[in-house]
Amino acid sequence: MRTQAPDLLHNMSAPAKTTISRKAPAKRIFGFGIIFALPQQGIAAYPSRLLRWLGDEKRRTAKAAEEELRRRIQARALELPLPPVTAVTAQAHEGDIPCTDLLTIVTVLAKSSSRVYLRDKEPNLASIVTGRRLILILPKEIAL
Amino acid sequence: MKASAAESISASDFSSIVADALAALPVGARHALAFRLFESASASRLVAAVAEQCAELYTMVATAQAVHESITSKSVRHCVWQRVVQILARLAPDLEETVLKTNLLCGLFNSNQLAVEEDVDRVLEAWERVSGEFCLPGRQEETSAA
Repeated sequence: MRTQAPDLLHNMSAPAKTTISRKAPAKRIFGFGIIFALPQQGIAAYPSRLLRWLGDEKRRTAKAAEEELRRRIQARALELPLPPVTAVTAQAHEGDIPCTDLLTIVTVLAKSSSRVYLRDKEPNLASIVTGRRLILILPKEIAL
Repeated sequence: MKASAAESISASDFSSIVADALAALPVGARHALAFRLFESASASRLVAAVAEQCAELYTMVATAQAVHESITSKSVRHCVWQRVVQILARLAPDLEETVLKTNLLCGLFNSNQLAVEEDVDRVLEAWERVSGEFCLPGRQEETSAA
């Protein structure tokens, strides 16, 4: 019975491999990050349920709930002290600050793609999904 | 970049100028342009598609990049990495500019945008040329002007 070992020992054509490695610093050195994600448990990302989580108990049709949520998102976006255009990443670092305000989270999720947050864009309610997490990268000069 | 200082230029015209610049500039230079736009308040004048493009370039430079790869010894890719290490070793470690250059080179290496050793030098040269060429209005200046 032949084994692979002798063949491998005499196989000098196999090129030598080397592993290159550079560890990224654990902390964000440049600017700072804010993490936006819906809380894991209990929040279904439907307009009517989101409104209930936001403290609005009023009964509405699905369309009316969607309109109300859009209105709240637009109003919140204008209040936020974020730059109108902010870069987005999925990579969190040690020291990034988690946002805990639900309306702010919903607003940022609705107005962000995977790359950029645009304050003036129409909110995309389909992007308010439980489990979606994004980090806004803000320059240090921005004082929140 | 002078366009960003001209307030009479509309958002769509400004975005067209930036989009053309991004297309014309080499790797490194376009990252520097995107970085300066996001660092100043000028990015807020970009239309969505161009902002998206700039944000991708900016994120690479502003986010720490890890590299972990198994490569063939003495291959072109290995030589490129050695050149990256050689260049970064010469820079002062405490400077913010060094952090940005490190992120840029590691990010480009990860995305296979550095094909040969000379690309490393070319990228840095392009970054430095564009970074040193312009000075955009800072966020604070813009706020006080408003």
